[in-house]
Amino acid sequence: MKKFLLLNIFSCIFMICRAEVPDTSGIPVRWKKESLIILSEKYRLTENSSGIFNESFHCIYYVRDKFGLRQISTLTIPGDIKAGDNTEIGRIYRKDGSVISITGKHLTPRQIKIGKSSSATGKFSYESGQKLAIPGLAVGDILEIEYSAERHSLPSTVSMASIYPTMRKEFYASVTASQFFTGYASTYFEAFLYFRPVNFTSENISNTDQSITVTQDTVERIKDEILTDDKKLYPYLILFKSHFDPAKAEFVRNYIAFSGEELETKQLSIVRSIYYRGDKIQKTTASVIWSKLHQKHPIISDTIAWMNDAFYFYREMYAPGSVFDNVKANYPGDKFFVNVMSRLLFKAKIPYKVFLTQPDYYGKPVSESTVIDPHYGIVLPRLKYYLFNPVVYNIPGDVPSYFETQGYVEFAANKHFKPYRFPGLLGVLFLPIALPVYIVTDSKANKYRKFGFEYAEFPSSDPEQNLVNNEITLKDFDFTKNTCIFSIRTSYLGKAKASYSRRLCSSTLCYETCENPYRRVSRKEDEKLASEYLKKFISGNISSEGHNVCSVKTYSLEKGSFFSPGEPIVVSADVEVKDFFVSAGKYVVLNVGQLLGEQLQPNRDTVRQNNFFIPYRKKYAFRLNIKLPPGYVADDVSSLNGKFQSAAGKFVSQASANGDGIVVNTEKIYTFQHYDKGKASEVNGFLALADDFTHLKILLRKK
Amino acid sequence: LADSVDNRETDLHSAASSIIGSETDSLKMIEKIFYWVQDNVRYIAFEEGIMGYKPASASKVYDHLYGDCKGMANLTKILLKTVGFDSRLTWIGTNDIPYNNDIPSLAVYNHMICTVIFKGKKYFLDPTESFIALGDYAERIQGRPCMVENGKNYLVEKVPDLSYERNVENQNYTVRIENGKLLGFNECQYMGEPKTSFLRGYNSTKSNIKEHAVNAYLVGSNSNLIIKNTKTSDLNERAQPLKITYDFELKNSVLRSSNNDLVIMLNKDQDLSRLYFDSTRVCDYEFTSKYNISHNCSLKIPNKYKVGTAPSPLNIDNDLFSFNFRYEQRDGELRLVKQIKIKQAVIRTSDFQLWNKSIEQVIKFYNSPVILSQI
Repeated sequence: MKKFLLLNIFSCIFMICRAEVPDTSGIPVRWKKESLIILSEKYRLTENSSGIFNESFHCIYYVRDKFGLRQISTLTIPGDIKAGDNTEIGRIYRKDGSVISITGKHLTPRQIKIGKSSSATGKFSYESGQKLAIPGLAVGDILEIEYSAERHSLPSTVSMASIYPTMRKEFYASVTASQFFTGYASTYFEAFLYFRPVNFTSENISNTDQSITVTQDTVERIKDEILTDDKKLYPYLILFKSHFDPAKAEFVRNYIAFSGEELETKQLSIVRSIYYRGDKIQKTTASVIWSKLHQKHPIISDTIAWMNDAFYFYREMYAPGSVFDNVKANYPGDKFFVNVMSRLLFKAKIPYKVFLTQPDYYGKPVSESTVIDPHYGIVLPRLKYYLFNPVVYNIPGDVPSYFETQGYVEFAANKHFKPYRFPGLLGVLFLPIALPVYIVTDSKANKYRKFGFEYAEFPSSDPEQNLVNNEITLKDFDFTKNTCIFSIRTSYLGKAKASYSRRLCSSTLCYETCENPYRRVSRKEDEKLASEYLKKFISGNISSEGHNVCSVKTYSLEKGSFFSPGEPIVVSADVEVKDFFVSAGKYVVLNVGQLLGEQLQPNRDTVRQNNFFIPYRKKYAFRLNIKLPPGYVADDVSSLNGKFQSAAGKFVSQASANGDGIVVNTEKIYTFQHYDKGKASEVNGFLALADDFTHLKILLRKK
Repeated sequence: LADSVDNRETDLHSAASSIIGSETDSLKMIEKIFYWVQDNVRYIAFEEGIMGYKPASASKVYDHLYGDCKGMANLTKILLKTVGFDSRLTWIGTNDIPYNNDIPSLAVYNHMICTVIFKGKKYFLDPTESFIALGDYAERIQGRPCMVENGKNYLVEKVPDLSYERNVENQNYTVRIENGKLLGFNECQYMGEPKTSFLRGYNSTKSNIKEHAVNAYLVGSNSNLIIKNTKTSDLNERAQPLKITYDFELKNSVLRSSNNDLVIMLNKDQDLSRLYFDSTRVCDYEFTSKYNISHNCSLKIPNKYKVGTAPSPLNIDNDLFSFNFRYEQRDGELRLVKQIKIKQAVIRTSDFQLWNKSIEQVIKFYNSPVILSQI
């Protein structure tokens, strides 16, 4: 309660000093159809010596159509703004030259008070954002909003909701280390950035009508503090800076500079902390695993086998299985595992590196000091990229799909992780270790950083290794019910196997089948629930491919060994399906293409704006066996044949009549992971052919 | 409460005059004011305390260009009143409320509109319903009881129920077979809910993707349909039907047999075919509105061909819905006539079985091809 009381104790409104009408002359012609243009957006968050955060926001919007008007009709500003009725919060510059002042009286009525007040039930006391309905705003107007507020804690997220084209943007944040680690979010500080690709393509950067700029002082600051001279300075630089308490100067000094080059319009999360909780659990886990390892490997003769067992034991303890398991295990994630594993490796005297990597779908970092959405892993240099990550259902040593790329890998410095003294095991005393657990790589860090980067090329897998192989048989046509039997056997290998495993486990048994996921169930009931769940899961997967499933006749799942790369997961089912065919006179129209299931549909009408990315190269193979109803023969089977092949991938279908049946073999292969948008036709070509195939029909004719 | 609002009517007289301009026809004057409020005042509701019941001042809403339903109704009323119309505030409970004003409670009303009494006829104006014409009523207030102010008393009225016939969606398309493809031209016409819904959607769409959005709306989920040359009537016109024309190609719709018969899938749209209620559904189903869909398709029969087989007519008609589908052969053309009427917006659970059985037949008709045989 006290904390809440301290939140937003004091807020104040900046008076707007601007008098002149904001300039719209520089808006690029290509934005003529945009609904809303942000002429300028500035956000600044600083922490003063008293631990108070000053937050200031200044934005100028240009309303271009009714859609834009609707978007900007109401704004939310921090709660408890103590603006008097006459305090100016913003202005509207009308088309006719008049100016409307927006003042405190336009704030929503303060029906939800903070501090002494509480909710209707008296149970909660909370702060609320203040809604501001913009008075008199119309299409063609320019709206300027400015406020600043003081708060006693970091905002949990900082939103820069710029889904609209932006002429000018600045973002600056400066907070101390203590807040960085123990602030509102406790484990990390996040800045959520929303970008619109048009602002950040390299095309715009080189455009002469350079419409987006950063202020000179920002440039100077970046030059001084962030970037080395040889780094390209993008005009759309968004700066996030967190500097630390001088008393803890050696702890971390952290910068993120980000260009946003080649981004999809999606939420990006900048996470910049290696701090994590669960230290006690980590120690216990490491001790238990070490104990089990020690029993199995009194001497480490085979490093790989030792590590696989370590991984296996870890997964035994922490593999996500149910909501309950996850809660019990405190949601162990990659950071947790990295810490456990690093303790084991260090103790076993196996050299290793802990790293963060930036998934490639965010593009390359603009500078070495940039990492977005990092994932943690351990790499063993001597064994070259033997990776661990327990949370993605990958076999140890296999490269998780989000690592599978060329990219920048940031190796964590010793200072990020707490030095660790390995505890005694079963009463046996181990030597105290004064050295840090984490090994620092050959750092290229400049004076501002305490960690280094290396450019890494993780091996990318061949499409054949990530194979989804389907054998489908269509048989037993029932013309009365318009049904037939759809028999499918699908095997998943490599990352396809990992992906399927994840899907299989992400909807947990209890969550799916029990009203109360925490209710204890007997083993017998558990088996029954598991069986029902599996049936539902398999049937759901078939339905999700667009098939009209009437009933499930049989089903099975062969998991094999998760740790054996060559063993696939195999799913088999016989289901009764409807509407695969329709009879008309002496003909039957058979929807052969539908057997392939729903395919990725390329956007055929618009020009590709962003480069292509898929998590990993992969192959889908189908063998379709259609056992024709007695007395029927297929016409023009060759119409099912097709082929498109490019450097990006291929789709090929080959059909043949075979006595009383038809056999169609198809292959769809993604041979790329990244592909240039300028060669979109090479990607769209095979995607479109596969999609077109799903609509193909053939005629069956009575002999 | 309404009497205690300072509407500053005299200030709004000039505004109303300016909106009406030189118009002298009374109904047109009402239309102009009604449409002006729809177009220029944004619906934003902050209903704090008494403001849940007390309308905001008309002049304040006019100045701010935003308001809740009460504020917008009050502004409409005052603008009309200042130019001499008998306009009144009206409480109404929308179809969100499962009871009517038989219950003596404030909760029977959740919405405010404006009623104009002109030449003895009552016009119910809901300015929060953008793009709705004068005399047209949104599904949510149709047939709903309301309370119209009447000096110190009130009048109990009911908004007319406009039936499914209001919600017209007509498609007239001609198709021909060229090089094994089905090519055609479609003329669509929309009135009632389909029209207002389209216009609202269109105006809520970003300008730079409006054209794409219209095409996506017309194509729907049919990935075999490719359309081009789309033209629309005036998208700001409320009273007249919305008209859209376009050329199209229907892929994968013609199969040629080894003896040169043509098997044709002529159904461009498969309306409602995915609406099937399984045993897990325990609640009634409510459509967004009633439907009145009519499709007329004319296929020019190619030379040296005749109709071999065409699906049998389907005629399902009851108090809830009707599906009337048939093929007709006339003057060298094969015509597909489809009429779908959803007469009641709610299907009760007790009627699910009836619906499911009907939809099975509907799907069968949709999927059944026409066979053209060589003469």
